[in-house]
Amino acid sequence: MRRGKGITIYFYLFMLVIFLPLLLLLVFSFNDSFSAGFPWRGFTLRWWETFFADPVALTTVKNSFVVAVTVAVVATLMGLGVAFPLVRRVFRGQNVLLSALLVPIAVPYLLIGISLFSLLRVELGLELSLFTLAIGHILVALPYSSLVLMARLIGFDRSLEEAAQDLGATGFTTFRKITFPLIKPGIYVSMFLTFTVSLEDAVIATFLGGSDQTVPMFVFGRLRRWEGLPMAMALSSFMVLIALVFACLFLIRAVRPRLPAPPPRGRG
Amino acid sequence: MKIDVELKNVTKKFGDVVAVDDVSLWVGKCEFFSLLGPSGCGKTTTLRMISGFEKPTEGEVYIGGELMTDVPPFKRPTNLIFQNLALFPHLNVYDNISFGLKIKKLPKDEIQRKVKEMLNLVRLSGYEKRKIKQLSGGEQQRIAIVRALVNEPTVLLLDEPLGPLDLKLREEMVVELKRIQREVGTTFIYVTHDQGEALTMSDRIAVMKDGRVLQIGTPMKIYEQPKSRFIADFIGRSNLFEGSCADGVVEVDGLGRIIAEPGPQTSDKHSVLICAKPEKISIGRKLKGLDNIFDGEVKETYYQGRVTTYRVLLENGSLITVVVLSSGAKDIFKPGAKVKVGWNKRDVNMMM
Ligand SMILES: Nc1ncnc2c1ncn2[C@@H]1O[C@H](COP(=O)(O)OP(=O)(O)OP(=O)(O)O)[C@@H](O)[C@H]1O
Ligand SMILES: [Mg+2]
Repeated sequence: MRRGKGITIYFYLFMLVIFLPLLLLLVFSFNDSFSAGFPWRGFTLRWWETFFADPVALTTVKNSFVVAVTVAVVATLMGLGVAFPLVRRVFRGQNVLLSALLVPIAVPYLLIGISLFSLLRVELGLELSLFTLAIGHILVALPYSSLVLMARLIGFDRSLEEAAQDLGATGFTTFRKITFPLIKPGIYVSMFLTFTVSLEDAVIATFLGGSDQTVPMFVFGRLRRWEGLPMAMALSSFMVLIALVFACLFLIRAVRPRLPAPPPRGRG
Repeated sequence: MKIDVELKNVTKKFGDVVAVDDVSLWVGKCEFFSLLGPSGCGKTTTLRMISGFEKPTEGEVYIGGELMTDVPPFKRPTNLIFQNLALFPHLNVYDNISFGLKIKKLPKDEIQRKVKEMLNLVRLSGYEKRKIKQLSGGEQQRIAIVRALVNEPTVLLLDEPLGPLDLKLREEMVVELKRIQREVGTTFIYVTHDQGEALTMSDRIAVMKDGRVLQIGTPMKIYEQPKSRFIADFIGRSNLFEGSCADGVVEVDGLGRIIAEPGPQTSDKHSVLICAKPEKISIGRKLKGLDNIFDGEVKETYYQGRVTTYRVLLENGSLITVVVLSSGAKDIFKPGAKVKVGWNKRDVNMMM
C-alpha cells in the first residue's frame, strides 16, 4: 500500500500548487487592508459588501455569464456540426479545412480583436454590444470545441450505431440513445473549455464589448486605483468559486464514465 | 424446405475491389447455414448485405420471400451478431439486451421476463446490473448473442461469434449455439473461417473464396467430396495426387497406377486430381486387401494422444499425411521406418 500512499501525497501537493494562488486570493478578499497580501490586518466582510452593493460590478458578472454560457452552447453546437463531417466523411479539401480550423488558436487575441472590430463595426456597422462580443468569443472558442469533439468522434466505434439500427433504432433514436451518450463527455469538456475561453478574455472584450463591460475589463479598470483593489479581489474570488462549481458540474460528469468501474457486488 | 433467405446473383464492389462476386444461394427456414472461407473472402460483406448495412452493387436479396434490397437495416427481420460484438459500453447488461425490445415498445414486465429467460439460456442469470467492461470475453460474447436473439428474429446472422474465445469455451459455445437454435427455431447464418466449427454445427455449408461461392453442401458432402483443390485443401488436410485418368485408373507420374471409383465415364485420357483424406489411409509393415498399396518411408511421427499423425514419403517424392488411432507404444512407427500405405478405391475422391 506504500505506492498508493505516495500517489495520494503527490495528488495533494499537485492540488496545493494549483489552488494556492486562488486560495490566497480568497483569503485576502477578507483581509481588512487595501493591499493584496500580508500583513493580516483582521477579518472583514467589507469588500464583499461593497461588491454586492455595487450595481455596476453585479452587471459585469451577469454580462460575463450571459456571454460565456451563450458561447459555450453555440460554439459546442457549431463544433458538433464541424466535427461530424470532418471525422466521418471523406471529401476534397478536408485537410485544408482541418488546418484552417486550428489557425485561430495561434493568432493573438489582440489581432483577432482588431480584425473583428473592423469587420463588425466598421464594415458591417453593427452596434458594439454583448452580441458582437459573443461573436468574437465564439470565433476563438470554435477551434477548441471542434478539436475536443473530433477527438471524441475519432475514437467512436461506428459499429455501435449499426448495432442499434440492427436492433430496430431509426437514425434519430440511434443518435439519442447511442451516439449522444457516448460523446457526452466530449460535449461537457467542450462546454467547459469554451465557457472559460469567454470568461477569462479581456482583450477581445475591449474591442467588441462596447459599453457592455465584462468582469475582466471591470477588474482591470479597478486596478488602476489602489482603493479599487480589495473589491476586485472579492469579485475575482466570487468568479473563481463559480468557475469551481461549473468545473464540478461539467468535468466530473465528463471524467467519471471513463474511470475504472467499481467492482460488481456479487451476482445481482 | 421453405426458403427463408435468398441471394440472387449478388455482387458488391468497393471501388475497384470486388468483395462479393455474383453469389447466389438460398437458406431454408430453421436451417443452420455456414459461410466458410479464408480471411477477406467476402463473408462479412455478404452478411452485411443480408442485414442491410451494404447495398449490393448488383443482384437481389430476399428474406421471407420479400425483396429486401432497398429496405434499411432497422426494418429487416434479421439481427446481426457483429464480428467485434458492438455491445453498448454505456449501458449495463439488462439495457443492452432489452435495447431492441424497448424500441418495439413491449410492456415492461414482458421485457423483464424475456431478458431473464435469455440470461438463463446463456447461464448468466443475475448479471443484469453489470457493466459491459465488467464481463469476461466469453460472457460478453454470450450477451452479444442474446441481445440479438431476444428479438426473436426470423434470421440470426452470426459473424465469427466465437473468434476471440479459448478452445474450451469455443467448444462449450458451439454446443450452446446448437441448443439455442433447436430451442428457438431460428434460421442461423453463421460466418466462420474455422472448418471444424462449420462442420460440427451446420446443416449446410457454403465455401467461399475471393468473393465467390465455390461449393454448397452438407458438411459430409463438402468434406468427403470437395469439388476443387482449394476446398479439399482448406477443409481437412487432404493428400492430393495429379494424374491422367482413363476408365477409373489414374496414372500418377513416378508412383504408378491408382485405382479409383469409376466416376462419370469417359474413356478419353484426361488429367484429374485425386484426393485422399489422412484418416482414410492405412499404414503398416504389411498391407493386403486394399485396392491401392504403395511403399513409403516414415519421415515424421506426431503422437497426439487419441491419434498419431505420420508424414510418409512416397516413391514419387510426395509427402502424404496419414492419421491413425493411437494403439500403444509397440505399434508406433519411428521416423525412418519402411512402411506400406494404402487405401480402397471408394475412399478417394476424384476431381477434374
Ligand atoms: N468498406 C470497405 N471498403 C473497401 N473494401 C472493403 C470494405 N469492406 C470490405 N472490403 C474488402 O472486401 C473484401 C472482403 O471483406 P470481408 O470483410 O467481407 O471479408 P471476410 O470474409 O469477412 O474476412 P475476415 O474473415 O477477415 O473477417 C476484403 O478484400 C476487404 O478488404
Ligand atoms: Mg469478416
